Amino acid sequence: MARVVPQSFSNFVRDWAFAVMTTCKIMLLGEMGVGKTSIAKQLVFGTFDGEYGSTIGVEIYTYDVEPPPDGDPFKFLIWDTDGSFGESFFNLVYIRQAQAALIVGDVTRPSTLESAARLTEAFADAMPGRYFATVLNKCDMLEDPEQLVLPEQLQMPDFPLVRTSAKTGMNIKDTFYEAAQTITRRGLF
Amino acid sequence: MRQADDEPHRNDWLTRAFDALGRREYAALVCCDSELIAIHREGQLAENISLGESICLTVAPLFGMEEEIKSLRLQSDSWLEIPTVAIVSNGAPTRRLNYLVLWDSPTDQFVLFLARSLAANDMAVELRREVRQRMLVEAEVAAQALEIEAANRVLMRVNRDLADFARIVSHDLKSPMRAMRYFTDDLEQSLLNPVEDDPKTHLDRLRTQSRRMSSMLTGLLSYAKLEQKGDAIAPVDTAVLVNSIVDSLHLPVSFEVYVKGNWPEIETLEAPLDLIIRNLIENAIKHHDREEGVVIISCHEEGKALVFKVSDDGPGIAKNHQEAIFQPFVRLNEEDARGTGMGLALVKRAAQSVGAELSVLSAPENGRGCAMIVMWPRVLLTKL
Repeated sequence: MARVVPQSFSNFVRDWAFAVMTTCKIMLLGEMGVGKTSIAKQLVFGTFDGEYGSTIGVEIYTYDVEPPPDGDPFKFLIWDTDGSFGESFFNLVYIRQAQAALIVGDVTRPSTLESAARLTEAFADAMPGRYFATVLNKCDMLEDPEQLVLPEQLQMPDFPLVRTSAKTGMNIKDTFYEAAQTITRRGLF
Repeated sequence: MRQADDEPHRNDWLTRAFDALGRREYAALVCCDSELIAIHREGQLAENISLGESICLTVAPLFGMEEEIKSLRLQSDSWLEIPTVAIVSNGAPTRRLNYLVLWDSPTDQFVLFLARSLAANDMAVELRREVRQRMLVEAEVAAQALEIEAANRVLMRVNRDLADFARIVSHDLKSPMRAMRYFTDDLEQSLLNPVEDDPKTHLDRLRTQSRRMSSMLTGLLSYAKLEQKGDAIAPVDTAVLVNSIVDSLHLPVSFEVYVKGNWPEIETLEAPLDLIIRNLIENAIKHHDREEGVVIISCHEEGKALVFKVSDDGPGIAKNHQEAIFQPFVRLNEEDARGTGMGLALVKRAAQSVGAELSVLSAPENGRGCAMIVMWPRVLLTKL
């Protein structure tokens, strides 16, 4: 026998479900000048500024991920960090309770890719089970992003790598959308 | 949700702090109950913090910190500090604030302090920004110097190639041209006495030399084009590749070719790899001195390289020839009409284009056989 649900009760359930938005703290890590702030600004404001302005401390952005049909709303608190900290960042208070990280490298500066590889390992050690991906930024400056020579650590099969351009917006929204999907699917919040 | 602004139970220091902060714009504080629900606030910096809600939901830097903040109740004289945080909205960061939370046991409350960075701190921030800018510029200059150095190496190699090319054109291609001149003279003579000296013989010789020269020019063009990488690096199943090469060869009936070892899938350029393996196998068969022979192609991994080896049971290559055979148009047996002498030159050039190393293992004085070894890097060189 089917149950008839009163209209007012079903509206209540719908409104309650909508109000339960998943919020996730996600870190942007990487050396100075790799494009962390540009990625955040491209994502949140759809803008790109070619002038470099170093991030001091932490700057927090808020971004609502467009949910899939019948999906739950999802919000990122994006912690854009000071690139000078390096691996000592994992000893600071900023990293606490982080649920995800995007570790950014600049494809035009190979040393930043080595650094990104090390930071990725350090994040995986410091925050086991959390979502992470290595972002290869500034791909608009390469003729063929697929021909990029990567450090050995980033060549492992199934390593989460994304090629982006904060300047053109290539893969920026997709990267965060994919992160939201994976975090939701794995229940990492 | 609890409603705000009940008069909290405050001791003297908190009362004085509230009174002072009400008039200040560089600091603020928020009182919270044991569940971190904000119940009172003072100061302009706290105006956007909603009363009646948890500060861990309404204050972005404190998101997710509930357990850590609540544990302050168990640690006397402890606090949680999150310094130098700016919230970015509408494209520009707000003021940079320091956040500090402590547990005030006399009033049974958590207290959140917010304070602006002081002027000296702002100056230090600007100074650090300038220093960083300089560091980045220096890093860019260093990177450009490396690029220039790499470009110079390429230019030197190109100049060397041009010199080799000029030498080949002026020396090796002269041979068939000289032969054509002689045969033309012979043809002219034979036309005076066609009965005793058949002109057709000289015409055939002219035709042969013409074909030879055409083959040499085609080989030279292929040699020159090898550095132009039109392919992209892609997954290559080396087992499929080597088997397709072997299947496509026109093997003499009495020859046997075996594929051995571990042939993995790698990310690489397929065209030069195909060229190298194919030419090495064809060379081993072409220059075998017997009607029966065996060629073995093997592969194994060694560190950061794949090692391909093409071994045969042919006559071998003397040590004093083991470098010359990779030069264009060099043939050890000049009377051997097969080929133009470009096969191994193409192999060497293709190997150089991807950073692979070639070596020859052969000692005819000790016995028959020759092995051509290619160390193929798993990570290929960039264009520069």
